[in-house]
Amino acid sequence: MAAKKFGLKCKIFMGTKDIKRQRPNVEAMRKNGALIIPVTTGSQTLVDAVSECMRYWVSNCDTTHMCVGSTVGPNIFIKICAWSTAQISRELIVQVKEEFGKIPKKIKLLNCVGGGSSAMGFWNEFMDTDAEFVGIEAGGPKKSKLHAAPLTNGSKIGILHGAAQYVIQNKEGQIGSTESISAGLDYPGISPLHCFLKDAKRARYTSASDEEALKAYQLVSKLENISPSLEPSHAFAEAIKIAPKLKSSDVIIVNSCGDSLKDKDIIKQKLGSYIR
Amino acid sequence: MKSEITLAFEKCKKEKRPALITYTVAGDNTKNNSLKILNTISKHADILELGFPHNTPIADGGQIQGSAHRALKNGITLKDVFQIVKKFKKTNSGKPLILMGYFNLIYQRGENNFLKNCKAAGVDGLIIVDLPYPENKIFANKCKKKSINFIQLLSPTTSEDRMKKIIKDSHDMVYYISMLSTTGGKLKVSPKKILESYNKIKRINPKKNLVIGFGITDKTISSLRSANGLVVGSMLCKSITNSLKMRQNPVTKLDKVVYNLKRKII
Repeated sequence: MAAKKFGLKCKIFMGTKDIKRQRPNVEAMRKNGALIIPVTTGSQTLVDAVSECMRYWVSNCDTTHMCVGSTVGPNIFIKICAWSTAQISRELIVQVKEEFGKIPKKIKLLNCVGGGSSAMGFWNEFMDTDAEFVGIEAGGPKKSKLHAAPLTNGSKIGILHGAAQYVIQNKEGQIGSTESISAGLDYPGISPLHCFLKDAKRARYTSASDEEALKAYQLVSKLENISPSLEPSHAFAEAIKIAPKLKSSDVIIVNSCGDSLKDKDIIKQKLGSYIR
Repeated sequence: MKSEITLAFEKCKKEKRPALITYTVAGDNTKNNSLKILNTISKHADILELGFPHNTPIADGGQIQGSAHRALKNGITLKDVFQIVKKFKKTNSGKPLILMGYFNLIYQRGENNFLKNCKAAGVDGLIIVDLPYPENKIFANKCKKKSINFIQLLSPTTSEDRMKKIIKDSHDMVYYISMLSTTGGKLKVSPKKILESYNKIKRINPKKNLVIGFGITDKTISSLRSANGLVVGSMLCKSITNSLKMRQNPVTKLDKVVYNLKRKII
């Protein structure tokens, strides 16, 4: 953690629902010296944690820096986050060239999208190449009307956390509730950067349901030597969906941007057991 | 023609006291009660701010969040808010009323539609917390054309250069946020320090009506009485919360609280 490295005090704002369902992450952060501030307002998830973090920062900006781990919030925080995570694609572009000699003509970069940070980081250096970007939002439970996929489901532009973006809301402009098995994607907005990429038709967005993500998690964990968390499992679900229609020369790269360990409680509850 | 807001400040200046500005939330704790509260406290207050609730209020502390939550739970909509204003202005035409809230509700209704509704209901001014300068220039001009005051916000972190620009583009009233805080925070800066900043801002344009808000309660209000106006919000929301807990009538409770505040500044 950056704060530990630089000897700074660190407060992490987290909804109480997420503290419960992401317990291993919370323990890891505490071990690294972070103080976890439980947020009890609203839905007790990411959206409320961001609000509460902003409130704290507004009240303490003379002594405190705000870091947002998602590409959400006012302009500069989005840039700081996206530029930092772009290191992923700086490394990826080197690896791709090593593997294929050049950047292949038909290459798809698949990434889950919630707050948008890992997708921005995964795509950034490929912006001026022919690479196709596919963002996968959280479709929520199959039988539920709730989701966290404003781009896929045609939500209107609204203003949330200091930025205009497509956001789940009612007609009046009250921010809507979301539902997803994945805590990291469970956010009503989607980052203004992804809204721009959608409108500019540079990226394509779709969603995967909770069930599809769980299935993808199971399949990938069984066949590969990795165990993705539920966020990238959404992206793997899309890869599984489209792969049969592609040629063998087409390249798909999925960003496995998290490890399943943090989701072990949810996986255990949904599938009966968790093996790592 | 002078605005109701300007007239209210002129009256207070003549009486050598600051304007008392209250903030309550439309629909808290019911639509009817919030109207009754406005009618009652307008006997003591000079300008009334009425919040139109949003469910993601990033500038508000616990008290106002609680009020907004109660109002939304009662199903309050913008249409109800305008109805409350209209009914209030019908019997209190000379009392300035300012709507305060977040921009997304205006954006969804459409700026022009929203202002049309404001005009029809008799709204005198607007404070939009998450529409900062200079992004608010176009909307502020639209307000001006409709003779609705757009109230600009200044804070302790606003640079002097920026303050000058904001004040130059401001209308009849400017709002100074007393300290780095959300609404309802404890006053962590001494009143003397707040007034020093206040006087510095006043010198930029002494004619502008400058009010101070955030962290003002019955305990701190008299020490800031040299300002043109003082805003009390969270304390009133808290009083509503407490009166509901004690099963008292929030209307009579607020009548007493605001009367008491007024006594401390005359």
